[in-house]
Amino acid sequence: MKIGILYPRSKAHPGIMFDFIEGIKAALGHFQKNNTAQLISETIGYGGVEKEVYEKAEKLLIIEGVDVLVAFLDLRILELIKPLFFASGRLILIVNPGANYPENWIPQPNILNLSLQHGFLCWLTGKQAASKNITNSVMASTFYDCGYLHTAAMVKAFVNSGGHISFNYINNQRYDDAFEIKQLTDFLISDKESNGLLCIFDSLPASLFYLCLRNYAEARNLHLFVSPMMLEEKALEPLKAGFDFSIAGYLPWHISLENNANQDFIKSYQQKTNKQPTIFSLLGWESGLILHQVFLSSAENYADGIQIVGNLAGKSINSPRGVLNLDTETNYFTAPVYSCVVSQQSGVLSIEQIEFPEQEWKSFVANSTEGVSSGWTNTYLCY
Amino acid sequence: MKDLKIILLCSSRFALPAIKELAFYRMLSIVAIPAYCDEIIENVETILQGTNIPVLKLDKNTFAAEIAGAIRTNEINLGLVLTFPFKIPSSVFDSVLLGFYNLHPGPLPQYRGADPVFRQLVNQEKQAGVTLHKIDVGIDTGPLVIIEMLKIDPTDTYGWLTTKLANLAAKLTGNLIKLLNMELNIALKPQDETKARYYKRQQAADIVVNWQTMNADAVIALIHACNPWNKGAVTKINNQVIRLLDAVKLAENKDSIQEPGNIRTIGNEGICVSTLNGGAILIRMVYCDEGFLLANDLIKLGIMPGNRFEGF
Repeated sequence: MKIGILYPRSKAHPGIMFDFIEGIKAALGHFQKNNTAQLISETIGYGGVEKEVYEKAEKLLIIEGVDVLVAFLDLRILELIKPLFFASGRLILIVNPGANYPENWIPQPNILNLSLQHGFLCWLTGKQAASKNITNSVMASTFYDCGYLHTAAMVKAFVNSGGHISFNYINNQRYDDAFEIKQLTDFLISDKESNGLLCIFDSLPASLFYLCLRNYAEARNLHLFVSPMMLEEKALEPLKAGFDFSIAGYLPWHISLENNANQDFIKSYQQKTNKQPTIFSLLGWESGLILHQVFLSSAENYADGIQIVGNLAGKSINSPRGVLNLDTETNYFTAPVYSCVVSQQSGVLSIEQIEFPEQEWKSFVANSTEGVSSGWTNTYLCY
Repeated sequence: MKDLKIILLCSSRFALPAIKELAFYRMLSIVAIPAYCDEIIENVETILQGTNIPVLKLDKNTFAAEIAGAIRTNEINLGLVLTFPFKIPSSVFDSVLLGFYNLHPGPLPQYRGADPVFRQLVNQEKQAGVTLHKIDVGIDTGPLVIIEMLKIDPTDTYGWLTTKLANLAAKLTGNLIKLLNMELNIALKPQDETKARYYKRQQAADIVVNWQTMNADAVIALIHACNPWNKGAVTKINNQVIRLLDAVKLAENKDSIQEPGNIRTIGNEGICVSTLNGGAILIRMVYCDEGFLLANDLIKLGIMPGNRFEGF
């Protein structure tokens, strides 16, 4: 099988391309006893230049003649490249953090989607905030992070459950000593009713944000409901010395999960790369797991992507984050989620696995985007 | 490539969102519409007010020459079609550098023909689609660029569904323009002829409720498919023609099977009518010579429980 891979790069997460591709290779090496897969890869930069992504995809599909294409790219770009994928008839696996979600969830029949479910996790986080009797909340983010639909998901879930957004705070996006949150704290001082903060930050600005908030005298009254990247180890670093606000949110996966699939993943990945796996390694590993299923179910006939998708329906894939199932209504793989709170004494995460919340997923999918929306075209976290 | 110069051919409001978008981005050179489509001409002229984009009103007998003339005069390099009743000759679409693309309000090749919105509703599909394809010598037979589907909601009428499909068509038009502007190859996929089905434009018999053969779902599907363009699905009662505009399905009651079309009750919420196999529907709005009425107003025309709706 010839596997084409479109991979991104990122200044913010420079390891992304290595982690992702090494994750795929590690999984194929681990699960394929006679691994004959040929990987042909192309970089697509930050994944935001439509022409570049289209031409790289075209090269892999037409000139290289790959059987399957794994493309780490976001949905705004996918919209434009769909005709190429449609005409190819090949199986296309779209991989990304899931910060965006489609305007229209009805899938193209030869395209599968694998993500870290960030948009859905933000939806759950917005619901969680409302369920904790937070009625007035600030929405806090950066100019970059708010340009994806996970922001809409978190706000909409909160507002639909009775919450009210009292202030939208967009950070100055200086990720150095100039990082400050004065506008936010000025507002919080002026409005004592707002004790909730819905927050969406990537891990680096998250750590700076936490640091500023630690130094805010009235932070103890605040309850933070945060996006998945704000629960990454790098983000939580400044909180090890303790803090006095509360932090809750959801993660798609954590390295400490004790299930066998996660142990296998960590061991195999470390053996192959001498590194700890990351969320990007997880996406690579899961892509490899899905490709392994394609091998098993397709009898070396990879010409018909629609048929391969049909073969995958109903199959459970044992991933390090729990069982992946293909939702045939949307062609998205779904997975269990992890509810997290951060210890105020140590900054350590407390993690609880939650079986995939089917009903919430249905509500999330039924929540269509309304009106005109704009946002970044590059893949989330690739900047 | 030089700038795109687009001629857009259309005959229904399915084209309006795409025209708005193209006009906003100053991408349209000319819009051509059959002269008999008064309402759409008026709508398009309103949208294009102040843009200097002309509307060419086409005569059925001379339309090909008129379009060819407009292509030459305006140096058109791309043609777009969003519902157009006349077959475009190859001499016309071959004369345009980038060809003609059609946005068809149904999935191809399963829904070829004149009015796929009506057919998709009558066939009780769960999803409807828009197909973007290149035009060739056949009708709706050209190679495919993309098919996008959307969900049909249980309350979708012909009008609502057309609006949703029109917005989807505008999005696909925008994507096509972007690809062409970037000078990318438009990948094309031949249609699978084994799945092809051609539907003729609906005839009088297609819009009449046949109470003897249609179950509750089929009656409601026909009612939705005829609203608003036909002012409803046609039926008859006490020798008067009535058009059913809106109805909902009621729970089946296999224990009290009545003659299909029989009026069970008339109340504030509407008229409860029996359908095949113990089914029932609640008719909420009708159209008749007296106007658009709440269904229970039919009492004023002497229509009573026990009367029966009939076909023709």
